[in-house]
Amino acid sequence: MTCEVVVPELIGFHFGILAAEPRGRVEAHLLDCGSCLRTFLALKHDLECPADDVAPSAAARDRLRRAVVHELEAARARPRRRWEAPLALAIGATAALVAVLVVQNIATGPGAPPRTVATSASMHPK
Amino acid sequence: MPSVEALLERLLAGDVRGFDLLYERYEGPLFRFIRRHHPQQQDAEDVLHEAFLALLREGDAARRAVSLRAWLFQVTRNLCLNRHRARRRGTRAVSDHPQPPGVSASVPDPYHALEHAQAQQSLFAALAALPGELAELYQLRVSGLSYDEMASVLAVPVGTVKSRMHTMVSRLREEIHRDL
Repeated sequence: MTCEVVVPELIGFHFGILAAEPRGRVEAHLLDCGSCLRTFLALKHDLECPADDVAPSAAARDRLRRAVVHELEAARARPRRRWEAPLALAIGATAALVAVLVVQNIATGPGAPPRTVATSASMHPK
Repeated sequence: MPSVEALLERLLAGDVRGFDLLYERYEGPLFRFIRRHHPQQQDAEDVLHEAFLALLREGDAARRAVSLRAWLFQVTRNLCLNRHRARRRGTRAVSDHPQPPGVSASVPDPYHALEHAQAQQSLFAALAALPGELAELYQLRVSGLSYDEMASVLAVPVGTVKSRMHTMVSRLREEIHRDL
């Protein structure tokens, strides 16, 4: 493979779209050819670090960080989330229902005092 | 180096240092990606702002994402598109033209320096000439996203990503070697 053939393939090689066979040939050529290797490294650098390297301003960074801190503080200060109140209510209602059922079971289940005794006692006070 | 998922958990647990580290890692790639959509500095800064706040506001969705990096790019892309829609702009996504670069310090001699500078100019001109969808694909790829992640961000099948990659490379190759 000559340099003239390899150089146009370097972009595809960089982005990993060459099929196995041409990729192997390019790799083999780059190992032998310092000039193409240099061209490839320069191309790789230019593709990954374009000249129009841009960044947000320091003011934008500060604004964002302040907003994040504000959100975190607000989350910490928030006592309950929206789903917490209904959940607490549901748990409370369930607990009350269970308590009623347990008391009822104790009052009417096996081992409970017969109603007639209580009734007759109340009907004939001493 | 902590994973981005671990940093997200720190952030969602209320540790602002988690944000600092995530920001440090993604500021550059995201901002360059945004600038492909919004060349204006102020617009790009606003989108970046919203994208990072989305990590906090949509933390559960971010947690569930297969790739947090892809999720972040996807949110950013949606914000870019929403901004375009909101302003009803009909401009092409790529309208910024990279400035011709200086000579790289890694090039050893004047002949190669000149050769490299010409190649670099051709490359940047070719990149600037890429149409919107190929330009954002390029930006995602050089940000290190896999084909699967790019497909997720762009909401297209992996096959489409591969096909566009071939098209992008062909365009760059043609542009560069036509100029040289």
